Amino acid sequence: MNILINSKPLEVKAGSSLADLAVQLELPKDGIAIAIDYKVVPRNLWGNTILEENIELMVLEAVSGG
Amino acid sequence: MSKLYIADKVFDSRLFLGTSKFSSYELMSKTIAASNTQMVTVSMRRLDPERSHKDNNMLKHVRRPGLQLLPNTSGVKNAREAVFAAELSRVAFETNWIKLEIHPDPKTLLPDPIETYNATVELVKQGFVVLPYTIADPILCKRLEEAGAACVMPIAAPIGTSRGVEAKDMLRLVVEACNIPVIVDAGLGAPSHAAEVMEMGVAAVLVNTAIARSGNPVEMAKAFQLAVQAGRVAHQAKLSVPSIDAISGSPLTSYSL
Repeated sequence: MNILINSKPLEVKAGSSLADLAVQLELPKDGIAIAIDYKVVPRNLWGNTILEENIELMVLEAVSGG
Repeated sequence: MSKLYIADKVFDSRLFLGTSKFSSYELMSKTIAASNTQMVTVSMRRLDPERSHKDNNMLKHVRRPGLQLLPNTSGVKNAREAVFAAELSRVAFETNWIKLEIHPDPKTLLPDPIETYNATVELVKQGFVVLPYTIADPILCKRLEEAGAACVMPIAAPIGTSRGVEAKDMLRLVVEACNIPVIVDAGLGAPSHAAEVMEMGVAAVLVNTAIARSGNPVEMAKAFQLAVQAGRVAHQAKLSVPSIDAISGSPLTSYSL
């Protein structure tokens, strides 16, 4: 099914969780945050957060900064 | 050099480092080590799902025992976005420390004082340790202190300019006004600038461009650390008071008959 990550489309298996998404995208274990509807989802809830069709996620990654 | 207390943490080093603008992560890592810093700033960006993230290892080059990460909210335009960015950072970096940066104008990158104050109030309520990036305004800095900021971070000059201590007189007023640590952030271009503000009684400095974009960041980091220490020791030793007139230290012996 189709979902949006930072406004870009991505195909994921139906019934995927945020944890499954992190595996699919090979996300590092450190420095990642995900929000749905401007609500940040704690990492320990990623496994329980099941994605729906066309859901829009905001995913942030760590970068260097001043 | 006396220890620096910010919120629940104690720092031996009064030099903090930004992690941007290095030519490689390896160089950034070596510079962090050479600087003896105990706190570095980091940031966040939107992830591109079309790129591979397997080798995204920026944090692996940064994290080390005893190093406090200080995520910033660079990019936010107002207090609401800043609070959201802080909540994201808390999860991403596993720290409730936040460098509150609200600079909506990309030309000047100067902080919005009203949004910064409002965000500080809200973030303190949510249990964050707030380090607000601000203009060197003693009244605003005092208000941020009263709102619960852990320290204030007034600029010496605009971000990335390396122009030095342009706000010298105002920084002096900020130091006089505040009981919380004053950490000069942005605009320092040389170790002598860092020494200058430390001599004034500033608690610490945050340096990025002047080190990362120097000819030799590892050596420049060492130079800044020495300058910060020199300035701090000089401040504690109390500088002699300047005089308009010359005052001879030697007898004005007469050599004529």
